[in-house]
Amino acid sequence: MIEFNNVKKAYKVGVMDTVALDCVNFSIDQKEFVSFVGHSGAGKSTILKLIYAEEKPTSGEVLFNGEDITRIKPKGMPLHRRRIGTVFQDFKLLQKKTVFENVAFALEVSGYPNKEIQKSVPQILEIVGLSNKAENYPHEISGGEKQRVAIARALVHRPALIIADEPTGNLDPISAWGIIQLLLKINQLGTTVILATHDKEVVNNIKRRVITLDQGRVIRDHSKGRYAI
Amino acid sequence: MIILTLTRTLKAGFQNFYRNGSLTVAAVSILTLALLIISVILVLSISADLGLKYVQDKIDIRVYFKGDTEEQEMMAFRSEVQKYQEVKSAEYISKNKALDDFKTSNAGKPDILKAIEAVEDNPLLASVNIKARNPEQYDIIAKSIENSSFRDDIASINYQQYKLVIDRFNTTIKTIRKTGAFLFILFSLIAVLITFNVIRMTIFNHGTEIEIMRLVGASNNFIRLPFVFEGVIYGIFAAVISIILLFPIVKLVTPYIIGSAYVSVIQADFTKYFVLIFLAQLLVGVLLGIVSSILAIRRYLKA
Repeated sequence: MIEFNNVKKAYKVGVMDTVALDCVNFSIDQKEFVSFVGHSGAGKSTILKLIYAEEKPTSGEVLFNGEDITRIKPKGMPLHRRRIGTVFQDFKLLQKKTVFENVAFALEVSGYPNKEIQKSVPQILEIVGLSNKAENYPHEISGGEKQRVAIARALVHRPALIIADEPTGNLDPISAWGIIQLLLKINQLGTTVILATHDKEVVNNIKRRVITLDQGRVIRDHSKGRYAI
Repeated sequence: MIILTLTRTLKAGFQNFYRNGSLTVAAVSILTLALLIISVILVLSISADLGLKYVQDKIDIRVYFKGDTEEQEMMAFRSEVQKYQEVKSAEYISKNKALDDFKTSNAGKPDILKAIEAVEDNPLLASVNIKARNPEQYDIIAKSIENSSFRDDIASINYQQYKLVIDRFNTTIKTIRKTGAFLFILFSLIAVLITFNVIRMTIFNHGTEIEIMRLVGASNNFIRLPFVFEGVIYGIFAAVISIILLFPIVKLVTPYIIGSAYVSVIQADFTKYFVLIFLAQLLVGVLLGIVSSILAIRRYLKA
Protein backbone atom coordinates (compact mmCIF):
# COMPACT_ATOMS: atom_id res chain seq x y z
CA MET A 1 0.00 0.00 0.00
CA ILE A 2 2.82 2.40 0.92
CA GLU A 3 6.32 2.21 -0.46
CA PHE A 4 9.35 4.39 0.24
CA ASN A 5 12.14 3.99 -2.33
CA ASN A 6 15.50 5.62 -1.55
CA VAL A 7 13.78 8.58 0.04
CA LYS A 8 15.94 11.50 1.13
CA LYS A 9 14.62 14.63 2.78
CA ALA A 10 16.82 17.61 3.63
CA TYR A 11 15.66 20.87 5.19
CA LYS A 12 17.49 24.09 4.54
CA VAL A 13 18.39 25.82 7.80
CA GLY A 14 20.11 29.08 6.92
CA VAL A 15 22.79 28.09 4.41
CA MET A 16 23.19 24.59 5.90
CA ASP A 17 21.24 21.52 4.78
CA THR A 18 19.92 19.38 7.64
CA VAL A 19 19.20 15.83 6.58
CA ALA A 20 15.99 14.53 8.15
CA LEU A 21 15.75 11.28 6.17
CA ASP A 22 18.49 9.52 4.27
CA CYS A 23 18.09 6.55 1.96
CA VAL A 24 14.89 5.29 3.55
CA ASN A 25 13.34 2.12 2.10
CA PHE A 26 10.33 0.19 3.41
CA SER A 27 6.88 -0.91 2.35
CA ILE A 28 3.66 -1.28 4.30
CA ASP A 29 0.88 -3.65 3.29
CA GLN A 30 -2.83 -3.13 3.63
CA LYS A 31 -4.32 -3.82 7.08
CA GLU A 32 -0.90 -3.64 8.77
CA PHE A 33 -0.32 -1.87 12.09
CA VAL A 34 3.15 -0.30 11.97
CA SER A 35 4.87 1.76 14.66
CA PHE A 36 7.73 4.12 13.88
CA VAL A 37 9.94 4.65 16.90
CA GLY A 38 13.01 6.73 17.56
CA HIS A 39 14.31 9.75 19.45
CA SER A 40 13.03 13.22 18.77
CA GLY A 41 14.46 14.31 15.43
CA ALA A 42 14.98 10.75 14.21
CA GLY A 43 12.64 11.40 11.26
CA LYS A 44 9.33 9.84 12.40
CA SER A 45 7.18 12.90 11.75
CA THR A 46 8.93 13.57 8.45
CA ILE A 47 7.94 10.11 7.18
CA LEU A 48 4.32 10.77 8.13
CA LYS A 49 4.38 14.22 6.51
CA LEU A 50 5.67 12.66 3.29
CA ILE A 51 2.77 10.21 3.32
CA TYR A 52 0.05 12.85 3.72
CA ALA A 53 2.03 15.08 1.34
CA GLU A 54 2.61 17.97 3.70
CA GLU A 55 6.26 17.73 2.61
CA LYS A 56 7.94 16.59 -0.59
CA PRO A 57 11.06 14.38 -0.59
CA THR A 58 14.33 15.88 -1.79
CA SER A 59 14.89 12.70 -3.81
CA GLY A 60 13.41 9.21 -4.13
CA GLU A 61 9.76 8.24 -4.49
CA VAL A 62 6.84 7.71 -2.14
CA LEU A 63 4.13 5.41 -3.54
CA PHE A 64 0.56 5.20 -2.27
CA ASN A 65 -1.33 2.31 -3.87
CA GLY A 66 1.24 2.38 -6.66
CA GLU A 67 0.84 6.11 -7.32
CA ASP A 68 3.80 8.47 -6.78
CA ILE A 69 2.60 11.02 -4.24
CA THR A 70 5.25 13.54 -5.25
CA ARG A 71 3.59 13.84 -8.66
CA ILE A 72 0.15 14.71 -7.32
CA LYS A 73 -0.81 18.19 -8.56
CA PRO A 74 -2.02 20.78 -6.02
CA LYS A 75 -5.60 20.29 -7.24
CA GLY A 76 -5.44 16.57 -6.48
CA MET A 77 -4.04 17.08 -2.99
CA PRO A 78 -7.39 17.34 -1.16
CA LEU A 79 -8.47 14.06 -2.78
CA HIS A 80 -5.25 12.37 -1.63
CA ARG A 81 -5.74 13.63 1.93
CA ARG A 82 -9.30 12.30 2.02
CA ARG A 83 -7.89 8.80 1.60
CA ILE A 84 -6.00 9.25 4.87
CA GLY A 85 -7.17 10.00 8.41
CA THR A 86 -4.70 11.94 10.57
CA VAL A 87 -4.39 12.09 14.37
CA PHE A 88 -1.90 14.41 16.13
CA GLN A 89 -0.39 14.92 19.55
CA ASP A 90 -2.02 18.36 19.81
CA PHE A 91 -5.40 17.00 18.57
CA LYS A 92 -5.80 19.78 15.96
CA LEU A 93 -9.49 20.28 16.59
CA LEU A 94 -11.40 23.31 15.31
CA GLN A 95 -11.92 25.28 18.51
CA LYS A 96 -14.98 27.17 17.28
CA LYS A 97 -16.80 24.01 16.28
CA THR A 98 -18.58 21.52 18.53
CA VAL A 99 -17.51 17.87 18.77
CA PHE A 100 -20.24 16.93 16.32
CA GLU A 101 -19.25 19.69 13.88
CA ASN A 102 -15.56 18.76 14.08
CA VAL A 103 -16.32 15.19 13.06
CA ALA A 104 -18.90 16.26 10.48
CA PHE A 105 -16.34 18.64 8.94
CA ALA A 106 -14.30 15.77 7.47
CA LEU A 107 -17.45 14.59 5.67
CA GLU A 108 -18.55 18.09 4.61
CA VAL A 109 -15.27 18.80 2.81
CA SER A 110 -15.61 15.52 0.94
CA GLY A 111 -19.07 16.53 -0.25
CA TYR A 112 -21.09 13.88 1.62
CA PRO A 113 -24.83 14.61 1.63
CA ASN A 114 -26.30 16.01 4.87
CA LYS A 115 -28.43 12.89 5.38
CA GLU A 116 -25.36 10.68 5.49
CA ILE A 117 -23.56 13.10 7.83
CA GLN A 118 -26.50 13.01 10.24
CA LYS A 119 -26.30 9.21 10.20
CA SER A 120 -22.53 8.60 10.25
CA VAL A 121 -21.37 11.11 12.85
CA PRO A 122 -23.48 9.77 15.76
CA GLN A 123 -22.39 6.23 14.83
CA ILE A 124 -18.71 7.09 14.96
CA LEU A 125 -19.13 9.11 18.19
CA GLU A 126 -20.76 6.01 19.66
CA ILE A 127 -17.72 3.92 18.65
CA VAL A 128 -15.26 6.29 20.33
CA GLY A 129 -17.58 6.62 23.34
CA LEU A 130 -18.44 10.31 23.04
CA SER A 131 -22.16 10.29 22.21
CA ASN A 132 -22.91 12.42 25.25
CA LYS A 133 -20.36 15.12 24.33
CA ALA A 134 -21.56 15.83 20.79
CA GLU A 135 -22.66 19.39 21.54
CA ASN A 136 -19.59 20.32 23.64
CA TYR A 137 -16.78 22.52 22.37
CA PRO A 138 -13.17 21.20 22.49
CA HIS A 139 -12.26 23.41 25.46
CA GLU A 140 -15.02 21.76 27.49
CA ILE A 141 -13.67 18.20 27.28
CA SER A 142 -10.57 16.36 28.58
CA GLY A 143 -7.36 15.57 26.68
CA GLY A 144 -8.28 11.91 26.21
CA GLU A 145 -11.72 12.90 24.93
CA LYS A 146 -10.19 15.43 22.51
CA GLN A 147 -8.02 12.67 21.07
CA ARG A 148 -11.10 10.47 20.67
CA VAL A 149 -12.78 13.27 18.74
CA ALA A 150 -9.68 13.49 16.53
CA ILE A 151 -9.82 9.74 15.92
CA ALA A 152 -13.54 9.93 15.18
CA ARG A 153 -12.82 12.68 12.64
CA ALA A 154 -9.98 10.68 11.09
CA LEU A 155 -12.21 7.64 10.84
CA VAL A 156 -15.61 8.97 9.87
CA HIS A 157 -15.03 9.01 6.11
CA ARG A 158 -13.69 5.44 6.27
CA PRO A 159 -10.16 6.06 4.98
CA ALA A 160 -7.91 3.17 4.00
CA LEU A 161 -5.12 4.53 6.19
CA ILE A 162 -4.93 6.19 9.60
CA ILE A 163 -1.77 8.12 10.52
CA ALA A 164 -1.23 8.88 14.21
CA ASP A 165 1.66 11.17 15.13
CA GLU A 166 2.42 10.82 18.86
CA PRO A 167 -1.29 10.48 19.65
CA THR A 168 -0.60 9.65 23.31
CA GLY A 169 2.06 12.31 23.90
CA ASN A 170 -0.22 14.65 25.84
CA LEU A 171 -2.24 12.03 27.70
CA ASP A 172 -2.07 10.27 31.05
CA PRO A 173 -1.22 6.50 30.86
CA ILE A 174 -4.82 5.33 31.22
CA SER A 175 -6.18 7.65 28.52
CA ALA A 176 -3.17 6.79 26.36
CA TRP A 177 -3.89 3.10 26.58
CA GLY A 178 -7.53 3.74 25.74
CA ILE A 179 -6.47 5.53 22.55
CA ILE A 180 -4.10 2.69 21.56
CA GLN A 181 -6.89 0.14 22.15
CA LEU A 182 -9.10 2.18 19.89
CA LEU A 183 -6.44 2.25 17.15
CA LEU A 184 -5.98 -1.54 17.46
CA LYS A 185 -9.74 -2.03 17.15
CA ILE A 186 -9.82 0.17 14.05
CA ASN A 187 -6.98 -1.91 12.60
CA GLN A 188 -8.86 -5.13 13.31
CA LEU A 189 -11.77 -3.77 11.31
CA GLY A 190 -9.46 -3.50 8.28
CA THR A 191 -7.88 -0.03 8.32
CA THR A 192 -4.10 0.29 7.97
CA VAL A 193 -2.64 2.18 10.95
CA ILE A 194 0.72 3.97 11.05
CA LEU A 195 1.78 5.16 14.47
CA ALA A 196 4.75 7.36 15.33
CA THR A 197 5.68 7.29 18.99
CA HIS A 198 8.46 7.25 21.52
CA ASP A 199 6.29 5.68 24.19
CA LYS A 200 8.16 2.50 25.10
CA GLU A 201 5.29 0.86 26.99
CA VAL A 202 2.83 1.38 24.19
CA VAL A 203 5.11 -0.21 21.62
CA ASN A 204 6.03 -3.17 23.82
CA ASN A 205 2.40 -3.87 24.70
CA ILE A 206 0.92 -3.91 21.22
CA LYS A 207 3.45 -6.42 19.81
CA ARG A 208 3.13 -5.38 16.15
CA ARG A 209 5.60 -4.41 13.45
CA VAL A 210 8.12 -1.79 14.62
CA ILE A 211 10.41 0.27 12.36
CA THR A 212 13.18 1.96 14.32
CA LEU A 213 14.73 5.17 13.05
CA ASP A 214 17.95 6.86 14.06
CA GLN A 215 19.27 10.09 12.56
CA GLY A 216 17.09 9.77 9.51
CA ARG A 217 17.88 6.13 8.70
CA VAL A 218 15.97 2.90 9.24
CA ILE A 219 18.10 0.86 11.64
CA ARG A 220 15.67 -1.97 12.45
CA ASP A 221 12.43 -3.39 11.04
CA HIS A 222 10.87 -6.24 13.05
CA SER A 223 7.47 -7.77 12.44
CA LYS A 224 6.83 -8.33 16.17
CA GLY A 225 9.09 -5.65 17.45
CA ARG A 226 9.98 -4.12 20.76
CA TYR A 227 11.13 -0.66 21.64
CA ALA A 228 14.90 -0.86 21.66
CA ILE A 229 17.22 2.04 20.91
CA MET B 1 -21.60 19.47 -5.31
CA ILE B 2 -21.16 23.18 -6.11
CA ILE B 3 -24.43 24.08 -4.37
CA LEU B 4 -23.49 21.88 -1.41
CA THR B 5 -20.09 23.59 -1.15
CA LEU B 6 -21.70 27.04 -1.41
CA THR B 7 -24.33 26.39 1.25
CA ARG B 8 -21.79 24.80 3.60
CA THR B 9 -19.20 27.55 3.20
CA LEU B 10 -21.88 30.25 3.53
CA LYS B 11 -23.02 28.66 6.78
CA ALA B 12 -19.40 28.47 7.96
CA GLY B 13 -18.94 32.16 7.05
CA PHE B 14 -21.92 33.11 9.24
CA GLN B 15 -20.62 30.89 12.04
CA ASN B 16 -17.20 32.55 11.88
CA PHE B 17 -18.92 35.92 11.96
CA TYR B 18 -20.95 35.37 15.12
CA ARG B 19 -18.60 33.03 16.95
CA ASN B 20 -15.55 35.27 16.64
CA GLY B 21 -16.93 38.02 18.90
CA SER B 22 -14.21 40.59 19.47
CA LEU B 23 -12.46 39.99 16.14
CA THR B 24 -15.74 40.52 14.29
CA VAL B 25 -16.35 43.74 16.22
CA ALA B 26 -12.82 44.94 15.40
CA ALA B 27 -13.09 44.13 11.70
CA VAL B 28 -16.56 45.67 11.30
CA SER B 29 -15.53 48.80 13.22
CA ILE B 30 -12.44 49.35 11.10
CA LEU B 31 -14.33 48.72 7.89
CA THR B 32 -17.07 51.12 9.04
CA LEU B 33 -14.45 53.73 9.83
CA ALA B 34 -12.84 53.23 6.42
CA LEU B 35 -16.20 53.63 4.65
CA LEU B 36 -17.05 56.69 6.76
CA ILE B 37 -13.76 58.40 6.01
CA ILE B 38 -14.12 57.76 2.30
CA SER B 39 -17.79 58.80 2.25
CA VAL B 40 -17.35 61.95 4.35
CA ILE B 41 -14.55 63.19 2.14
CA LEU B 42 -16.51 62.30 -0.97
CA VAL B 43 -19.65 63.96 0.35
CA LEU B 44 -17.75 67.07 1.36
CA SER B 45 -16.02 67.43 -1.96
CA ILE B 46 -19.34 66.94 -3.75
CA SER B 47 -20.89 69.50 -1.39
CA ALA B 48 -18.12 71.95 -2.10
CA ASP B 49 -18.58 71.32 -5.80
CA LEU B 50 -22.35 71.85 -5.58
CA GLY B 51 -21.75 75.02 -3.58
CA LEU B 52 -19.31 76.24 -6.18
CA LYS B 53 -21.74 75.50 -8.99
CA TYR B 54 -24.42 77.42 -7.13
CA VAL B 55 -22.12 80.43 -6.80
CA GLN B 56 -20.89 79.99 -10.35
CA ASP B 57 -24.46 80.28 -11.60
CA LYS B 58 -24.77 83.69 -9.94
CA ILE B 59 -21.76 85.06 -11.81
CA ASP B 60 -22.29 86.77 -15.13
CA ILE B 61 -21.07 89.79 -17.04
CA ARG B 62 -23.48 92.49 -18.03
CA VAL B 63 -23.08 94.57 -21.14
CA TYR B 64 -25.03 97.86 -20.78
CA PHE B 65 -26.04 99.70 -23.94
CA LYS B 66 -26.24 103.42 -24.45
CA GLY B 67 -29.76 104.82 -24.03
CA ASP B 68 -30.27 105.52 -27.73
CA THR B 69 -29.34 102.04 -29.00
CA GLU B 70 -32.05 100.32 -31.06
CA GLU B 71 -33.44 97.08 -29.66
CA GLN B 72 -32.70 95.46 -33.03
CA GLU B 73 -29.04 96.31 -32.58
CA MET B 74 -28.96 94.76 -29.13
CA MET B 75 -30.66 91.59 -30.36
CA ALA B 76 -28.04 91.35 -33.11
CA PHE B 77 -25.35 91.69 -30.45
CA ARG B 78 -27.02 88.95 -28.42
CA SER B 79 -27.12 86.48 -31.30
CA GLU B 80 -23.51 87.34 -32.17
CA VAL B 81 -22.37 86.66 -28.61
CA GLN B 82 -24.30 83.40 -28.47
CA LYS B 83 -22.12 82.15 -31.29
CA TYR B 84 -19.03 82.37 -29.08
CA GLN B 85 -17.90 78.92 -27.98
CA GLU B 86 -17.27 80.10 -24.44
CA VAL B 87 -20.79 81.49 -23.94
CA LYS B 88 -23.36 79.33 -22.23
CA SER B 89 -26.26 81.78 -22.41
CA ALA B 90 -26.98 85.40 -23.24
CA GLU B 91 -30.16 87.03 -21.99
CA TYR B 92 -31.53 90.34 -23.19
CA ILE B 93 -32.91 92.59 -20.46
CA SER B 94 -34.87 95.53 -21.85
CA LYS B 95 -35.08 98.89 -20.07
CA ASN B 96 -38.60 98.05 -18.85
CA LYS B 97 -37.62 94.59 -17.65
CA ALA B 98 -34.65 96.15 -15.83
CA LEU B 99 -37.00 98.58 -14.09
CA ASP B 100 -39.42 95.79 -13.12
CA ASP B 101 -36.55 93.70 -11.75
CA PHE B 102 -35.28 96.67 -9.81
CA LYS B 103 -38.69 97.28 -8.29
CA THR B 104 -39.12 93.64 -7.34
CA SER B 105 -35.74 93.38 -5.69
CA ASN B 106 -36.34 96.61 -3.74
CA ALA B 107 -39.96 95.88 -2.87
CA GLY B 108 -39.26 96.25 0.83
CA LYS B 109 -37.62 99.66 0.51
CA PRO B 110 -40.33 102.35 -0.09
CA ASP B 111 -37.77 105.22 -0.12
CA ILE B 112 -35.96 103.80 -3.11
CA LEU B 113 -39.21 102.98 -4.91
CA LYS B 114 -40.44 106.54 -4.36
CA ALA B 115 -37.16 107.95 -5.64
CA ILE B 116 -37.28 105.92 -8.85
CA GLU B 117 -40.91 106.85 -9.46
CA ALA B 118 -40.00 110.53 -9.02
CA VAL B 119 -37.77 110.31 -12.09
CA GLU B 120 -39.94 110.61 -15.18
CA ASP B 121 -37.80 108.69 -17.61
CA ASN B 122 -36.69 105.13 -16.91
CA PRO B 123 -33.11 105.76 -15.77
CA LEU B 124 -32.00 102.16 -16.20
CA LEU B 125 -30.11 100.91 -19.24
CA ALA B 126 -30.93 97.87 -21.36
CA SER B 127 -28.39 95.10 -21.05
CA VAL B 128 -27.36 91.67 -22.21
CA ASN B 129 -26.42 89.28 -19.37
CA ILE B 130 -23.82 86.76 -20.43
CA LYS B 131 -22.93 83.53 -18.66
CA ALA B 132 -19.79 81.61 -19.56
CA ARG B 133 -19.48 77.85 -19.72
CA ASN B 134 -16.42 78.09 -17.54
CA PRO B 135 -15.77 80.97 -15.12
CA GLU B 136 -12.21 81.24 -16.39
CA GLN B 137 -13.49 82.38 -19.79
CA TYR B 138 -15.06 85.68 -18.71
CA ASP B 139 -11.81 87.44 -19.47
CA ILE B 140 -11.77 86.23 -23.10
CA ILE B 141 -15.46 87.02 -23.58
CA ALA B 142 -15.05 90.54 -22.21
CA LYS B 143 -12.09 91.17 -24.49
CA SER B 144 -13.91 89.88 -27.60
CA ILE B 145 -16.85 92.16 -26.86
CA GLU B 146 -14.58 95.16 -26.37
CA ASN B 147 -13.07 94.50 -29.79
CA SER B 148 -16.35 93.78 -31.58
CA SER B 149 -18.17 96.10 -34.00
CA PHE B 150 -20.76 96.81 -31.31
CA ARG B 151 -18.33 98.62 -29.04
CA ASP B 152 -19.68 102.08 -29.97
CA ASP B 153 -23.16 101.21 -28.69
CA ILE B 154 -21.89 99.84 -25.41
CA ALA B 155 -22.10 102.10 -22.39
CA SER B 156 -20.18 99.80 -20.05
CA ILE B 157 -19.20 96.22 -19.35
CA ASN B 158 -19.37 95.47 -15.68
CA TYR B 159 -16.62 92.88 -15.97
CA GLN B 160 -13.66 94.94 -14.82
CA GLN B 161 -15.20 95.73 -11.44
CA TYR B 162 -15.87 91.99 -10.86
CA LYS B 163 -12.59 90.80 -12.32
CA LEU B 164 -10.89 90.45 -8.94
CA VAL B 165 -13.81 88.50 -7.46
CA ILE B 166 -14.04 86.19 -10.45
CA ASP B 167 -10.28 85.57 -10.45
CA ARG B 168 -10.28 84.76 -6.78
CA PHE B 169 -13.25 82.49 -7.25
CA ASN B 170 -11.42 80.62 -10.01
CA THR B 171 -8.38 80.04 -7.82
CA THR B 172 -10.59 78.82 -4.98
CA ILE B 173 -12.36 76.31 -7.22
CA LYS B 174 -9.06 74.87 -8.41
CA THR B 175 -7.64 74.60 -4.89
CA ILE B 176 -10.76 72.95 -3.48
CA ARG B 177 -10.91 70.41 -6.32
CA LYS B 178 -7.23 69.54 -6.05
CA THR B 179 -7.27 69.27 -2.26
CA GLY B 180 -10.48 67.24 -2.36
CA ALA B 181 -9.07 64.77 -4.85
CA PHE B 182 -5.78 64.50 -2.96
CA LEU B 183 -7.49 63.93 0.41
CA PHE B 184 -9.88 61.44 -1.16
CA ILE B 185 -7.08 59.35 -2.65
CA LEU B 186 -4.89 59.58 0.45
CA PHE B 187 -7.59 58.62 2.94
CA SER B 188 -9.02 55.92 0.69
CA LEU B 189 -5.58 54.38 0.48
CA ILE B 190 -5.09 54.52 4.25
CA ALA B 191 -8.56 53.10 4.84
CA VAL B 192 -7.97 50.23 2.40
CA LEU B 193 -4.60 49.39 3.98
CA ILE B 194 -5.98 49.39 7.52
CA THR B 195 -8.95 47.23 6.52
CA PHE B 196 -6.70 44.80 4.70
CA ASN B 197 -4.44 44.48 7.75
CA VAL B 198 -7.30 43.93 10.19
CA ILE B 199 -8.81 41.21 8.00
CA ARG B 200 -5.35 39.70 7.61
CA MET B 201 -5.07 39.65 11.39
CA THR B 202 -8.41 37.87 11.79
CA ILE B 203 -7.36 35.29 9.21
CA PHE B 204 -3.94 34.90 10.87
CA ASN B 205 -5.87 34.02 13.98
CA HIS B 206 -7.42 31.17 12.00
CA GLY B 207 -4.02 29.83 10.87
CA THR B 208 -4.32 26.55 12.80
CA GLU B 209 -7.87 26.07 11.58
CA ILE B 210 -6.79 26.49 7.98
CA GLU B 211 -4.00 23.96 8.54
CA ILE B 212 -6.53 21.49 9.97
CA MET B 213 -8.90 22.06 7.07
CA ARG B 214 -6.11 21.25 4.63
CA LEU B 215 -5.20 18.12 6.58
CA VAL B 216 -8.69 16.69 6.44
CA GLY B 217 -8.70 17.24 2.69
CA ALA B 218 -10.62 20.50 2.27
CA SER B 219 -10.19 21.98 -1.20
CA ASN B 220 -8.84 25.52 -1.50
CA ASN B 221 -12.31 26.82 -2.30
CA PHE B 222 -13.78 25.11 0.72
CA ILE B 223 -11.20 26.89 2.90
CA ARG B 224 -11.36 30.23 1.11
CA LEU B 225 -15.11 30.72 0.71
CA PRO B 226 -16.11 30.97 4.40
CA PHE B 227 -13.59 33.82 4.78
CA VAL B 228 -14.85 35.48 1.61
CA PHE B 229 -18.44 35.25 2.86
CA GLU B 230 -17.31 36.56 6.22
CA GLY B 231 -15.76 39.50 4.35
CA VAL B 232 -19.08 40.07 2.55
CA ILE B 233 -20.95 40.11 5.87
CA TYR B 234 -18.37 42.56 7.31
CA GLY B 235 -18.97 44.78 4.26
CA ILE B 236 -22.78 44.71 4.61
CA PHE B 237 -22.69 45.48 8.34
CA ALA B 238 -20.13 48.24 7.88
CA ALA B 239 -22.18 49.84 5.07
CA VAL B 240 -25.37 49.83 7.15
CA ILE B 241 -23.64 51.30 10.22
CA SER B 242 -21.75 53.93 8.24
CA ILE B 243 -24.84 55.13 6.33
CA ILE B 244 -26.62 55.55 9.66
CA LEU B 245 -23.69 57.60 10.97
CA LEU B 246 -23.00 59.49 7.74
CA PHE B 247 -26.07 61.73 7.60
CA PRO B 248 -25.77 63.29 11.06
CA ILE B 249 -22.07 63.85 10.37
CA VAL B 250 -22.77 65.53 7.03
CA LYS B 251 -25.47 67.66 8.65
CA LEU B 252 -23.09 68.74 11.40
CA VAL B 253 -20.04 69.32 9.26
CA THR B 254 -21.27 70.91 6.01
CA PRO B 255 -22.10 74.37 7.44
CA TYR B 256 -18.50 74.80 8.62
CA ILE B 257 -17.03 73.76 5.31
CA ILE B 258 -19.05 75.63 2.74
CA GLY B 259 -20.81 78.41 4.60
CA SER B 260 -24.38 78.20 5.83
CA ALA B 261 -25.93 79.95 2.82
CA TYR B 262 -26.05 76.87 0.60
CA VAL B 263 -26.46 74.15 3.22
CA SER B 264 -30.18 73.68 2.65
CA VAL B 265 -29.67 73.36 -1.10
CA ILE B 266 -26.93 70.76 -0.64
CA GLN B 267 -28.64 68.77 2.08
CA ALA B 268 -31.77 68.55 -0.03
CA ASP B 269 -29.63 67.12 -2.81
CA PHE B 270 -28.15 64.51 -0.47
CA THR B 271 -31.46 63.22 0.72
CA LYS B 272 -32.14 62.49 -2.96
CA TYR B 273 -28.86 60.58 -3.21
CA PHE B 274 -29.41 58.48 -0.06
CA VAL B 275 -29.98 55.20 -1.90
CA LEU B 276 -27.12 55.86 -4.29
CA ILE B 277 -24.67 56.62 -1.47
CA PHE B 278 -25.80 53.54 0.44
CA LEU B 279 -25.39 51.31 -2.60
CA ALA B 280 -21.93 52.77 -3.25
CA GLN B 281 -20.93 52.10 0.36
CA LEU B 282 -22.31 48.60 0.16
CA LEU B 283 -20.37 47.93 -3.01
CA VAL B 284 -17.11 49.39 -1.65
CA GLY B 285 -17.55 47.65 1.72
CA VAL B 286 -18.29 44.25 0.23
CA LEU B 287 -15.50 44.55 -2.35
CA LEU B 288 -13.03 45.61 0.35
CA GLY B 289 -14.10 42.65 2.48
CA ILE B 290 -13.81 40.16 -0.37
CA VAL B 291 -10.53 41.42 -1.82
CA SER B 292 -8.87 41.69 1.61
CA SER B 293 -9.98 38.16 2.50
CA ILE B 294 -8.80 36.66 -0.77
CA LEU B 295 -5.43 38.42 -0.56
CA ALA B 296 -4.93 37.60 3.11
CA ILE B 297 -5.77 33.92 2.77
CA ARG B 298 -3.62 33.36 -0.31
CA ARG B 299 -0.48 32.62 1.66
CA TYR B 300 -2.19 29.86 3.64
CA LEU B 301 -3.29 27.99 0.55
CA LYS B 302 0.05 26.73 -0.67
CA ALA B 303 -0.16 23.30 -2.19
